[in-house]
Amino acid sequence: MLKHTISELKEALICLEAGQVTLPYPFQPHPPEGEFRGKPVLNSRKCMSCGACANACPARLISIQDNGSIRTLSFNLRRCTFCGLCRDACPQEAITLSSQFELSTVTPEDLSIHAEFGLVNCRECGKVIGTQRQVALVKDKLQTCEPGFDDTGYVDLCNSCKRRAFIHNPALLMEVKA
Amino acid sequence: MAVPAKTIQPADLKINLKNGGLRFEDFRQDTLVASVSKEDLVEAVRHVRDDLDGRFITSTGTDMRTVNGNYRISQLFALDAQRQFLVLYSDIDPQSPDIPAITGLIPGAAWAEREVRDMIGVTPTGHPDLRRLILPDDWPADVHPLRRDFPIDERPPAAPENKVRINLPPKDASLFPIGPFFPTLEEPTFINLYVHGEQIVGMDYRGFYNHRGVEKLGDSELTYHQIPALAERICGICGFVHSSSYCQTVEKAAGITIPRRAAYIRTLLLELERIHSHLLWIGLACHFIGFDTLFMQAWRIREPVMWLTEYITGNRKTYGMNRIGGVSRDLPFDAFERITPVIDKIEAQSAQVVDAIVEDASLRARLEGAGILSTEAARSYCVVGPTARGSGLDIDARRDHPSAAYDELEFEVCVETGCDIWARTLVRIRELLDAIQIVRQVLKKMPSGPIVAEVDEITPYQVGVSGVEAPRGEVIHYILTGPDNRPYRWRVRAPSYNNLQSIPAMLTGANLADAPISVGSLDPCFSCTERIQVVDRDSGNVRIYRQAELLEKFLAKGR
Amino acid sequence: MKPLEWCFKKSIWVYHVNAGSCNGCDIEILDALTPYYDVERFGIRLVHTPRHADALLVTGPVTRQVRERLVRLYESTPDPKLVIAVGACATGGGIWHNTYATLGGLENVLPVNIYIPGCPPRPEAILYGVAQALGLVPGVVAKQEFAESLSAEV
Repeated sequence: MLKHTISELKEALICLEAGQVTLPYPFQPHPPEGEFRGKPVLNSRKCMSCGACANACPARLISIQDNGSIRTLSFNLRRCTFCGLCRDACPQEAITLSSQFELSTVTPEDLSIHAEFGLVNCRECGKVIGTQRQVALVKDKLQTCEPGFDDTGYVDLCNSCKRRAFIHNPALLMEVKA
Repeated sequence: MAVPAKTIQPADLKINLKNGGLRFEDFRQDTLVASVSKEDLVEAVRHVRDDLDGRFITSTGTDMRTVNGNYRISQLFALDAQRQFLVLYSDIDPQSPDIPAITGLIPGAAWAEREVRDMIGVTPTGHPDLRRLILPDDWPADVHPLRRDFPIDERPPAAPENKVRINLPPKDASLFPIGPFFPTLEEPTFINLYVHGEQIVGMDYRGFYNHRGVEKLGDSELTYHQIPALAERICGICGFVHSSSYCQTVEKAAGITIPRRAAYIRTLLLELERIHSHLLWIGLACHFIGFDTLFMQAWRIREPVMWLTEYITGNRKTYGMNRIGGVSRDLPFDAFERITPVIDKIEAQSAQVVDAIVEDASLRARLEGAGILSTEAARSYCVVGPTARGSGLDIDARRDHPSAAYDELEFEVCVETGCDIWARTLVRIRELLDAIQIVRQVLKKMPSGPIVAEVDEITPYQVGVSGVEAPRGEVIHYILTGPDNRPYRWRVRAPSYNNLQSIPAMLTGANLADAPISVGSLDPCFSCTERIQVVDRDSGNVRIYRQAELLEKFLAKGR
Repeated sequence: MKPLEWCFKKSIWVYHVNAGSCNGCDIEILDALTPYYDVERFGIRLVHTPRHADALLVTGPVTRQVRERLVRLYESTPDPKLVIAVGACATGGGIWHNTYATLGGLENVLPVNIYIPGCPPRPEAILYGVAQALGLVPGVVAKQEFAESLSAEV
C-alpha cells in the first residue's frame, strides 16, 4: 500500500516539476528553427521553365504546358509533400522552400503557383525549342565559354533543322569545332 | 556483440526432392536466391524452416510475364544466426495460376498468401481462408492491380457482390464488433470478437482500410530517386525506417557502398525516431487504460525530440533526408550542442516516468498476465519487434541484419519472457533508455567526410533484401530492379503485418476488457483516438456497444 | 451574425477520422491536445462519436474501402457541421492522388470547408486552421502568379 502511494506521489511530482509548458501560440508566433521545409516559392526571375522540377516531384504536382508562344508552369500545392526534391533538382536554384507553414485556406486555388514564359520557335520549322530564357542562357554560355563562339546564329534552330543546316554546309561544322 | 554463425553457402541449400529440388541462382552480399518448382515448394520450405532455422518474412508475387512468361512467387526468409536472407522463388505458369499454400507449415504466412492472390491472382491451394484481404469490398473479382497490364490510375466500377463476409460467431456466442474506426490501430480496421459473456472465444478480422497502392506506385510511376519520399509516407510515425530500408535495399541490389558519415546520420535519425515513437506508445498505452496523466506527460517529454528533428531535417515527422547512396543534407554545424542537452533532459525525465510506471502497482496489476502471446505462438505467427522480444524471442534486425552504423555500436537486445503486455511494456522502456545511449555513441563516433556516394545506372533484374529495426519491429523491403529507372517489383513488409496476425492467439480466452490494450500493446501505429462501433445489421442478433459503454467497461477493470 | 458563425462562436467539438492516412497527421492532431499546444484552452475538444461533433477533422486521401464508412460518419454528424481536410492527402490526394485504391482527396467525397495542407502539418498549423475555420484568424496564403509578357510579379 505504501509502495503504491509512493508511486502515485512520484507521478504527481513529474507533473509538478514540469510546471506550465503551454506555448503562447497563436498569440505569439512559434516559427520553425533551422532550414524548415515549408511552402515552395518560385523565384520567377531565375526560373527558365526547363521542367526539371516536374520530373523530380514525387507527388507529380508540377505541370508544364506549351500553348502557342506561351509555356505555362503550374504547381498544385494542395498535394505538396514538402519533400524538397524540386528544389534539389532545379539547375537555376529558382525554387526555395520558405518557412511559411500556416497554409490553411478556404479557397484551395490559393495553394498554387502559376507562371507563364515566352517560347522560342525554330526559325525554320516552327517547332518549340525552349523558353526565351533557355535560349538566351545558351547564347550567353556559348559566348562566354573558352574558347568563345561569336556566331550563335544556330541557336534558334531545332535539333533536326540544325543537323540539316550542318549537313548542307559542312564547312560550318568545322568552323564551329575550331 | 554476438559472432554470426558460419555463412550458409549455396551447397547447404541442396536437398533431394522429386521435382528437381532447390536450384541455387544467385548469392550477393548477404542474400541467397534459389528457385524451386511449385510441386517441391512445401518440402523446400520445410527444409528451410527446420534444417536451416529460417524465419519466414513474407511472400511476394511478381508479374514476370513480360520477362519470362511466368508469375514469380517468392518466399522470403531470414537466417538470423548467419545474418543472411534467403529468397526462394517459384515460377508459375499463367495457364494454371496456383501454388501450394505453405500456411499449413507456417501460420504466419496466411496473410501474405492471401495478398498474393488478391494482387497477382495466383491462388494458394489448400489455404484455410481464401477470402479477400487487401482489396476494397467493392473491387471486381478478377482484377489484380499488381499485374503489369493493370494501369495504376484505373478505378474499376463497383462490384458490391464481392463484399467480404465476416464469419459468423460459433453457436451461443455473440458478435462484438470493434471498428473500423478504432483508436489502438494504425489503420481504420474491423475486428469482430466472438464473446461468451465477457470471455472472448474467437475473432474475425477485416483490415486494410488504408490500402493506398504504394507498391504499384513504386513500380509503375515513380523513379528510384523519388521512391524514398513515397516510402517515408508509408507510415507517419516510423517513416524514416521505411525510406532507410528502401535505400539500403537498392544500394544492396546495385552494389553501392554509402559513406560512413551517411550511415551514422541515418542511425542517429533512426534512434531519435525510436525515442519519440516509444514515448508516444507509452503515452497512448497509458491513455488506453485510463491513465491520462502519464499520457500527457509522456507526450510532453517527447515534444523536444520533434523540435530537434525539425531543426536537423526540416520537418518534424517526414525527415526527407534519405537518398540512394546516402543522405541529402549534413547535420547543422551546431547539431551536437543542440542534441546533447535534449537527450540529457529526455533521459532524466524518461527515467522518472519509467520509475513511476515500473513501481505503479495498479498499472502492473492491469497489464501483467493480460494479452498473453506464448513463445510458440509468437514463433509460428512470425511476429517481430518488441512483441516478439516480449515473448522471449531473441531477434533484433539491428544485430541480426546490421545496416547503417549498427555494426559499430554497442547496444542490448532487450528480451523479456513474460509473454504479456507488461513484458512488452518493459521491452519498450528498456529500448527507450537504450536508444538514448545509442544516440550518445553515434555523436561520439560520428566520422567526418562525404554524405552521399555516386550512383551509376542500376542494373536491371537484381534482387535486394534489407531490414531495419523499426520501433514496432523489423521493416523488410524487397526489390527486383527494373529497366526503366524504377523497380520492377518493390515489396514492403511492415512489422504490424505480422504482429496483427497474432491477435487471435492473444485474445482467444481473454477478457473482453483486455482487448483494446492487448491490440494496443502490439503498437500498431496509433492513428485515431476515437472510435465507433459499426455493425453489419444483416447478421442478426448483434448487440451494439457504444463507445462510452466500451470505455466504461474497460476503465472499470483498471480501477 | 450568420447562423453558422453564431453556432461556432464558442467551443467546437471535433471528431477525428483517419480516411487512409499514414498516421503522420493523426499524431500531429493528437499532439495538438498535449501540454505544449493544448487546444482545449480554446474549447476545442476531441470527442468519441460523430454524433457529438461540430466538426470532422479528416486525414488521408480517402481510400476506396473507407469511402462508404466516411460518408456514414458524415451523415451521422448533426448539422451545422464543418469538414476540415488535414494534410496533403486530404487536401489534394497527396503522393497517391491517382492510384487505383484512393479517391484522390476529401473533396471528391465530401464538401470541404477548410483545407490545412502540410505533410504533416505542424500542430501549430492545425491550430491555426481550426482558428481560421472559426473566423478567429485570417487566411494568409495567396496564389503566386507570374507572366513573363508582363515581366513582373502580379
